[in-house]
Amino acid sequence: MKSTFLIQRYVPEVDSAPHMERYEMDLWDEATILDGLLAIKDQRDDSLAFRRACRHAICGSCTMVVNGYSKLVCKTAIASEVKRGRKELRITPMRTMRVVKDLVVDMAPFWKHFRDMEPWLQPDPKKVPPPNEEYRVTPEKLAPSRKDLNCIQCAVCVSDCGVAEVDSHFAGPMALAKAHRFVTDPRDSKRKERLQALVDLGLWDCAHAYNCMECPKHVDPAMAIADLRRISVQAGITNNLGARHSNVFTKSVGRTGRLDESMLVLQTVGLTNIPGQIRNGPQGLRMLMKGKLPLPMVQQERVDNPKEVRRIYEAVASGEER
Amino acid sequence: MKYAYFTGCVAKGTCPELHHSTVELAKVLGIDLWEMTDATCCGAGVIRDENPELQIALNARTFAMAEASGMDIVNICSTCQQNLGQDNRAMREDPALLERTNGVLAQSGLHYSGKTQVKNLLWVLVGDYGLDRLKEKVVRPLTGLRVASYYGCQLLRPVEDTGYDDPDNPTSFDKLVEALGATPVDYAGKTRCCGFHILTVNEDTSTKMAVKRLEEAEEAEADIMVTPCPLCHTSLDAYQPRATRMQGSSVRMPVLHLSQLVGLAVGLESSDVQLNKLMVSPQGALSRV
Repeated sequence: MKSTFLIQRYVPEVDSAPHMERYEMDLWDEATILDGLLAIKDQRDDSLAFRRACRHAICGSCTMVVNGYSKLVCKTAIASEVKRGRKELRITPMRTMRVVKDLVVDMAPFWKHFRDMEPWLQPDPKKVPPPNEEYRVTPEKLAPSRKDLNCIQCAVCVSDCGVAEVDSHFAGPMALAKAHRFVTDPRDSKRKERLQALVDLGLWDCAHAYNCMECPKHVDPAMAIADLRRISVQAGITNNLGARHSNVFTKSVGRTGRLDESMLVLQTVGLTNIPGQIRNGPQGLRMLMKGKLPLPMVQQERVDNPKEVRRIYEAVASGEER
Repeated sequence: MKYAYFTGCVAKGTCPELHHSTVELAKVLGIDLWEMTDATCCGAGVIRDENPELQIALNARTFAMAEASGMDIVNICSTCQQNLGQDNRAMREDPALLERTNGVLAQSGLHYSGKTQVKNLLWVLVGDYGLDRLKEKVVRPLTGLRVASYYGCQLLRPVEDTGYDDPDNPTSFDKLVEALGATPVDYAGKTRCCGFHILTVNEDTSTKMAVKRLEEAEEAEADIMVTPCPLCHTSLDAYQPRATRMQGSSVRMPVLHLSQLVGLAVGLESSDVQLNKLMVSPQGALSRV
């Protein structure tokens, strides 16, 4: 099978800017993209730099961006890209991280976000069994973190995350899924402290783009983040913009069946937060002038039977109590 | 062709031009829309953050009403598509959840069996209506107009819940743009997130994301962007002047709703599709057509 590789080459100490280099390769039909890169390094240019180790999607080393989407290249067949209509394999380094050389990036920020989560079990010392015994937990009790445990820290999710791309402060999907793993572990004693810390680490900064759901190990960080938010609210950590936004939203729909967008912004910012309201004033005015801002409460849409909606809210709540 | 028309909240709130132009477009194309005036908000993933089963119950109520009408749902918002699609799949895959949810609906005299399909207007136009048929309706081909189709993120992912196009290499929107006589442009950000869902919570990051998308379209020399989602539209158009000022960008990019662009090509006037409600005027770009 003939394939065209377009690979980003860049040596920061030498080159003024990255450039794309073209390699025409003839490989076997089942070849992966990593096979192709190894063949290029072997036969064409041994200075090409990229990370790889296990070739079996276990080590998580070979993440790169293939035609705009991050992949473990050892797990991605060239044929799968051809099948989705790609004529070339355009390979660039992971997003969100500085290029060291060619396809190798500096992952220090990624590991910092990982460490910020204190990714180790912190049990109550009084409950820890003596050294010759195991601290046992049933599979059922670990079920909520079952997917999180599959993570190999390959950074596919972080490289594709639109928030991480522009906001280096955001912990990112991998680290948040790791936090979920420990928050839901019944042996851990730092649940509340962890949840409290997460507010500043970006729990509410996920923008629901769901790119991270296409994890090569099926971890599903997006749903881990949604679950962390639910747990955080239930734990009473509600004095922050994200929790307030979610709370006001849910209540608004409960009243009329539809979202009161104007009220959502006013209440999330806080009705008594005068500087915040003033800051949003010009945007509100601009939208009002365009006829794009219904008056809160007054011009709010409602469903035909808001009573039925309220009944569903109550029924779900009472079902949970049971 | 008849559909249960799920407007969502924003097309009846801060993007009235979207609802208006959709209704006008449907008339021209001969698509019957039964507006689901009793359908609630889809929850937008936000109610899910508080209580996943509550969001599922609300959406099951909507599905049950559509099922009783015998029609599939058409929506005009990627977030509606994503949340309705995801909750629909959750119930189909988990009979116990479906049963529990039907228990909640029973008092309202409703029952959902899992049959309702949920389609964004884009999928209805491309899949059900068909591009050949659409081409026949084009009376004002948008020749020469360079259009950046903005798929955004939630329309395509997770693929199990939407499943109408390849999230890693979508082509349907570009084919539709071609059918209207315009020229689709390829650009880096077409499936990347606009930042809308954190606009109220983290405005700095959100506007950085939006500005990046606008700049990527500009870099590819697009005349306009088009979106199938009013939330993307709010980030990209309604907030554009504020976002570009906050982020020190000089980009200026008109952004149309899908229904507006198709509407213009099939002969609707700019007043029919309410172009006057756009924050960034597209008149300069459209006058070249």
